[in-house]
Amino acid sequence: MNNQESSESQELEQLRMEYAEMKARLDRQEIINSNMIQMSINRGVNSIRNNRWIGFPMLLILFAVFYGLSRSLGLRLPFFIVTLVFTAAIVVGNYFRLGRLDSAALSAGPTRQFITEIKCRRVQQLRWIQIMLPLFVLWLGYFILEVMHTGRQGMDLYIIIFSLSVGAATGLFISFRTHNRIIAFYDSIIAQLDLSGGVK
Amino acid sequence: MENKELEFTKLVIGNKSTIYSVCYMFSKDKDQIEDLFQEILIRLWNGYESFRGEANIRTWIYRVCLNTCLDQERKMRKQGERVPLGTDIDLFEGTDDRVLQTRQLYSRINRLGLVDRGMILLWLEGLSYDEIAAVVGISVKSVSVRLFQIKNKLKSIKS
Repeated sequence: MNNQESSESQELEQLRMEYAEMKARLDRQEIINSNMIQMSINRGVNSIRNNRWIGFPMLLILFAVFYGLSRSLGLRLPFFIVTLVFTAAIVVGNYFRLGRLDSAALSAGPTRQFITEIKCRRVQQLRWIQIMLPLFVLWLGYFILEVMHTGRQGMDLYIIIFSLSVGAATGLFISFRTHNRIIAFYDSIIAQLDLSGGVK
Repeated sequence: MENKELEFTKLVIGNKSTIYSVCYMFSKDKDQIEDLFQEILIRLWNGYESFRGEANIRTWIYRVCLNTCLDQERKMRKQGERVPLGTDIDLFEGTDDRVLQTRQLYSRINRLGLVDRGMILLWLEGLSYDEIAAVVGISVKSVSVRLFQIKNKLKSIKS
């Protein structure tokens, strides 16, 4: 029995030596060159993180659109200000949340601590959407009240409601898509790092 | 090339055999090794940009390599593809008894679970228990117990 165990231990040690020899052979071969590394560097830009800048030009466009709408429909100044503050909060929030994805992917700190941090960020992201969704509904109500206040009727009212529906659906789609991508990103990191979850 | 890119290139070339070996352990053919290698390079570069040196760079490289391989394999399992590991590639040259024995043991390692395979790989790489604990994120004592169990498992798996 002892002989067998000793032989198996030798096998493992043998494998370790073979492994070291194999690595030495690999070191002598040109597995990779600078060009291949350069290509990887170019491909390695995080597309999600880069999206964080898109919100700022969109904010300017929204400013112009709402200013135009306010003037043409006769919407009041407080509504215009509320809309801008709400939109700016979303854009700035997105900028910071997407920017954090970088350090999330790259932290080299202790794994356990890092996984805990990522899980916290995931919860924060879920809370963000839970807060923003009711606020969006409130803003929608405010918008409808504001449109009713202008006293418009008939075709004018339908056009405004149609535009509002399209705009709201687009905004919601973009927000949920970004939210889902962030959540998926955090989930993938947790799945990647939580190696010890598989250790029973 | 910028300084940072040069440093990164040196780092990759200095660790190419480690990266390749990890890919080999988690791949079924050469194409998959190349894909994994590429993916690891991308993740290493993304990480290198803001690597703060809070951990040993070697530990960090192992962690990125292992996590990338495990992630890829999990994805493949979700897609329903069974991965017959390490069948097409043979990095152990020669046909004498010693090499054949090693090859058999290597194929037994490939039949271990994902995490077990990762841990035995780190042990083969010559990492200390402290370093393995840092990569996997468990205590040093757990590493010791786990490696003991893995070695026993290896013995029980028939070639």
